[in-house]
Amino acid sequence: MSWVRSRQGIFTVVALLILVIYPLVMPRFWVLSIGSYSIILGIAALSLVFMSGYGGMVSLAQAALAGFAAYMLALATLTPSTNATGSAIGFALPALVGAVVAVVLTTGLGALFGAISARSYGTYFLMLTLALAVGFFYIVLQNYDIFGGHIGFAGILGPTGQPRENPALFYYICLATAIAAYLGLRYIVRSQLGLTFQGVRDNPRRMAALGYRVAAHRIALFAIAGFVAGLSGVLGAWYRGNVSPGIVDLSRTIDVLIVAVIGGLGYPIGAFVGAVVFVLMDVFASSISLFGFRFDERFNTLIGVGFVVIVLVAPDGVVGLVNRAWQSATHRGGGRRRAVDPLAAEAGLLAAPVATTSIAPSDPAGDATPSNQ
Amino acid sequence: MPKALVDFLTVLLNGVTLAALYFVVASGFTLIFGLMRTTNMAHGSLYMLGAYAGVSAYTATGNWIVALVVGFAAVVVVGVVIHLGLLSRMAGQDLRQALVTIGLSIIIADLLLAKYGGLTYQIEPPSFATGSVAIPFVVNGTYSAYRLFMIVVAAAVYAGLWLVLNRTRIGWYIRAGIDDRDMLSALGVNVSRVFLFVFALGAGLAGLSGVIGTTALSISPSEDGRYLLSSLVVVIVGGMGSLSGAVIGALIIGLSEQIGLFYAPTYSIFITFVIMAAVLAVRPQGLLGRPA
Repeated sequence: MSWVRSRQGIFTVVALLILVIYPLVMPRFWVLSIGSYSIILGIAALSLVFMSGYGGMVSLAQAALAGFAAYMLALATLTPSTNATGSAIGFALPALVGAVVAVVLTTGLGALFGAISARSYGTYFLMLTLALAVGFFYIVLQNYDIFGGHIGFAGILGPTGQPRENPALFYYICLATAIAAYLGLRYIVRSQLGLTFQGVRDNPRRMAALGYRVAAHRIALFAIAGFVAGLSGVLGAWYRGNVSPGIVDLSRTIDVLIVAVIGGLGYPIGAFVGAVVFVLMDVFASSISLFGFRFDERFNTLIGVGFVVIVLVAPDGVVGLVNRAWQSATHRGGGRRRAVDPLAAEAGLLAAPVATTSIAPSDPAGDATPSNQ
Repeated sequence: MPKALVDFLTVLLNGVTLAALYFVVASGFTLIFGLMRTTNMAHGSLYMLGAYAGVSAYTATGNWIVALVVGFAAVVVVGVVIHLGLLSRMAGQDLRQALVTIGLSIIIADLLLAKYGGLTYQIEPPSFATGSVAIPFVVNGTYSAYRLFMIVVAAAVYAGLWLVLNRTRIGWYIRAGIDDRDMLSALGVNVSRVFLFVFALGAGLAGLSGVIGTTALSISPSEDGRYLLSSLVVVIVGGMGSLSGAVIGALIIGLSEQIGLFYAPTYSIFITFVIMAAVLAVRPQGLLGRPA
């Protein structure tokens, strides 16, 4: 099968080349509002795909974690001020130091969320993380002492100043972060720890009987996802230049899930594919018209219908569809085919089963997932 | 009586009346989950749908009872459509059902925004529950009659659901279905029809509570998140699928929210979540939930 591997290698090189050349040839709107924003959203979705794919934990707390990182970045880097959009606390740290602080604190919050939800599974876990996320939204909305209430904070500057001053550089920062996060997660998944995560996902009771600490592993998984979501939150704060409760409200929370489901819940690369599809739909919804019904202001209806259709007909998302099309196209090659997704495949797992464990019928062997009901 | 005590008793009464609303909202949610293991993430949107249907009916007729009936019936119809069209096709796939209802919640909220805009609406309380009632131990010595009436409604909903579950044939089927769905089906009961009844009833309760809540407070876009959150927290604390658990959960959440709002306004939600985390640390299945 070495030809498949080399063909895959060629794909990777070409894709990377396109991604690198992209900001040099495209106008600023495409570099920032579509390119950079897709990557930022994709990193948040990547943290969810990591949790659902390798921990069986479909979380709705990722936007809250990213938002927490953005708030922590604001508090760490802004100078204390008394005006409406300033922070009364503010430590005036340099941007990069503030980013490190924010991501570390978000990893801690991920561990805390993990500790709260470690013994919950399936939809119960989904509900619990949703409750945590919406609760966090109301905390930042109500709290003026620390989080600046419904106004939030403005004037957050990244290491390169405002993104629009140097769009290509900001894009490269986002791209480098995304690649680092992707490769880092891939390293974890292929390690002993990653295999343990998958064991915990597939059969927590058996892993517990083998002497593994199931809850501790689920907490660790949540913390790692918190780290990745924190990266997205920091980049998002630099991108917008401000933070407000709007970045952690219910629709942002659900957007991350939508992005991951569009791309395919079992495919890490799907997080980014889903993000590009989502952002393009968001930007160009106004020019879409269906049976005379225009989606100018009804973007949410469009995205909601699209989401329901994908859950109904393509539970493993766009990447899953492409994957299946690819496999049937190369069927004549004969023999066992590798999954397109390297992350899952090299972890000793075909990609498809990962996708099906997260959405489709829960395991027939009732003992695998303890339920809380 | 010292003012601090009067304040505290008023806050307690506010908490109990809010808990009454939370209970009615969460009762439908927990009923659906208890039998069908379906997490209806659109529950907050159905609340909002019932509220707006009630607002339209009230604007047309000026009659509160009509608004209540319309709010209930409209959401029952929508619930039947959702169940027959989508959820019954993926029975047993609870995560997929949850995702579909998330998609539906986005669509419902967006269509309601398109029809009703961003305005805030309210419904006037019915004539038998307008004005205030003299209660000696609260601030000013009077209390809103309607908010007290909400406790009556919650008690009626509890009693009604208890009677349906314990004294009717369909209630036997529901309880048997909660224990062993396959066995019930093997005994010749049309389980899918029981599921449809429960989903429609649970959805209708969300619509009913929408009208009740809009009368006491108000309705505006994004209220769906608030009631979805309250339902989630109530059933997480009280235990999924347990009616009594929903009562206890609603009381804990309603009281902690009101006490928090009065004594530490910017941290009230935080208190709610500390309680939720504490309950989960001790009993992951909720206070009255059954262990796995």
